Amino acid sequence: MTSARTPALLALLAGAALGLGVLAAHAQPKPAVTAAQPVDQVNPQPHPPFVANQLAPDLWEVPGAGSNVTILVTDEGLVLVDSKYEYHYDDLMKIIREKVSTKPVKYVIDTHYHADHSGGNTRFLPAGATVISSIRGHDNIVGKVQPGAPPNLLPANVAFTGEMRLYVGGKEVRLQSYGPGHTGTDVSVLFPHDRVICVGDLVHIGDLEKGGQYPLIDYNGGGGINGWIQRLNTISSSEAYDKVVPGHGTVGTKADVIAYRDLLERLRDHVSAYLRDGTKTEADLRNHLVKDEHWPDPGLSIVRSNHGLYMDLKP
Amino acid sequence: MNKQPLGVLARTLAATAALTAFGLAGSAHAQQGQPLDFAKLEMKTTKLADNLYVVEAAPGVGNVVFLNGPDGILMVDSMFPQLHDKLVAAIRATGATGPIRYIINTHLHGDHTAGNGLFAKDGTVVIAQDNVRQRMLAKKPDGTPAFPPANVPMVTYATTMTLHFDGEDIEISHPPAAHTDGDSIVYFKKANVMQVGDLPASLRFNNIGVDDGGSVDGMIADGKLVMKMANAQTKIVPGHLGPVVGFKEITIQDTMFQTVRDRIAKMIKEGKTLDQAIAAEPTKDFNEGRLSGNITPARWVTLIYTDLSRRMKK
Ligand SMILES: [Zn+2]
Ligand SMILES: [Zn+2]
Ligand SMILES: [Zn+2]
Repeated sequence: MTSARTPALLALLAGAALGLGVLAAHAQPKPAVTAAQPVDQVNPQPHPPFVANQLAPDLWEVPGAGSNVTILVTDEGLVLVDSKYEYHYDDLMKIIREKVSTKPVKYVIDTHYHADHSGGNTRFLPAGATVISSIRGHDNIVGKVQPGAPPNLLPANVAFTGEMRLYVGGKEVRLQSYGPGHTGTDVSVLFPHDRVICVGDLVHIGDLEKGGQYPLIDYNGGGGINGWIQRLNTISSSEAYDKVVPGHGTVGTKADVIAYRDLLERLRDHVSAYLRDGTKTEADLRNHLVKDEHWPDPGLSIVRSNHGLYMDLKP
Repeated sequence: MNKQPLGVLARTLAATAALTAFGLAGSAHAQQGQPLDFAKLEMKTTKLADNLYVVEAAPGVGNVVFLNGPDGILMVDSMFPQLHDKLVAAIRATGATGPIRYIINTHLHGDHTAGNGLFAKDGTVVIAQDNVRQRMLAKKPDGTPAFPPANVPMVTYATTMTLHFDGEDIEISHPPAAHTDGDSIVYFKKANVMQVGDLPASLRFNNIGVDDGGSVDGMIADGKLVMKMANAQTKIVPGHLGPVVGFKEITIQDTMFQTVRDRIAKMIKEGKTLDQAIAAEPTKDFNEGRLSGNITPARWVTLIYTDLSRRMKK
């Protein structure tokens, strides 16, 4: 484990409802990485103090435990993209109040329904914010699709399919919802004037040369690997942004979107090739992913993705 | 069902005669008649479901549906600023005390949106289809904004939205261009109430926003679409002349739209001028029960003739 990889791992361990495994190198296998276990999504967990990083004069992010939170500051109030777990609410608001702005939170956007991103809904809604997600994101929270999510998790009160735009304090925010990807509920959020896009868990920015991050493909929540690749083709073909804020980890660029798409393509082709002769079972695939792709087992990515991948890609 | 006897309706229409008020918003619609006398207008509130009401002011003022409950109040359309206090009083009179959180605009016209600004000033979030905002912000030839910027929606969607508010599921969908190219159909699913704005519904000569992306063929298509989206029990709230209609009225309107459209198309093919088309009175057998109000038969023929002749040229 090099030090360069530590921040990603910390984010993973702190936030890992996601279950992104940090991957031992594909080409040069390393000792098995300890699999990420599900975090307690209900009871407060200790986390390093939050910090706020400035991405543009009016745009900030609070990375770390839970998910990355992006904050647009306008005269009329704040727009948040994602909101960590509910139990991070007080610490999140504290750092926003101290470092970012004292304006009211007007809009909160869920990049997808997972509780490490949408947990704050439960607090921001009663506080009077408009909370926005995809329609399926709303429905997945109502349907309690995510294992272990807080039973009191509130869905968005405004949901959409396709495109949506907010105009706040003279600034524009562009939302786009997508079909199958990381989940079936993914939304990207573009701040055109700052040329920054938030992509939630559609992109994980890791150390790709050393193998990158294993995806959690939430088939139960509407995700799918082919759709995910298409999503990243769409996002990487846009010229509207320079910076990419992923759901976890460090801010990157379009090159990271492309690299993650390539990783997914390689994974899909590898799994398809492995399953092609039609003799392999689901358990075979799991063993193969552990042995040949070094997926941590048990880890959320393999636990949540293996069955769906098998059903999706078997001939 | 419009329970107002036609005689009374005729008198109401003649008396209030509608709608220079459209002009308040500076939209390009030539409207006939006297200005609305806002001071004399009274709000009429009708309960549609437990926590859902429609407020009517006059035939020339867009009907406002509102939902009340623990999350506050959500309105569809906003009348005129001159009616703001009366509209708020009508809402409060039902016992609704919460903040007015959301307004959904069925389309851009001033009789539905001119009231937005005064609500937005108090923090109400105004929602509409993308094209509503684009058209409201477009500049007039003299460079001034087509609509007051304060009335322009700040949340827009392209195809579909849902709101979950006061225990109700509200589905907002953008049908193919009809009255304008920014129409929204607002469906309160649990209450089974659908506000259709100025799509064909109540018995009248609907304005057609021929300069706002609307078309007579779009109107015909969307009237049929409403009957697919709704069911026979749905309370359908029209933009004007409510409070409620059903499939019966929409079907009657559909027949009229289709028949008059075909008559005018035939006259255009025969080379008839607009004046000749108006003189031929193609709406004659439909005039009864659709007293002129905002749109006279001649005006309606003009709208359809204008729309069809533009399209047939292409
Ligand atoms: Zn996720
Ligand atoms: Zn995440
Ligand atoms: Zn109208």
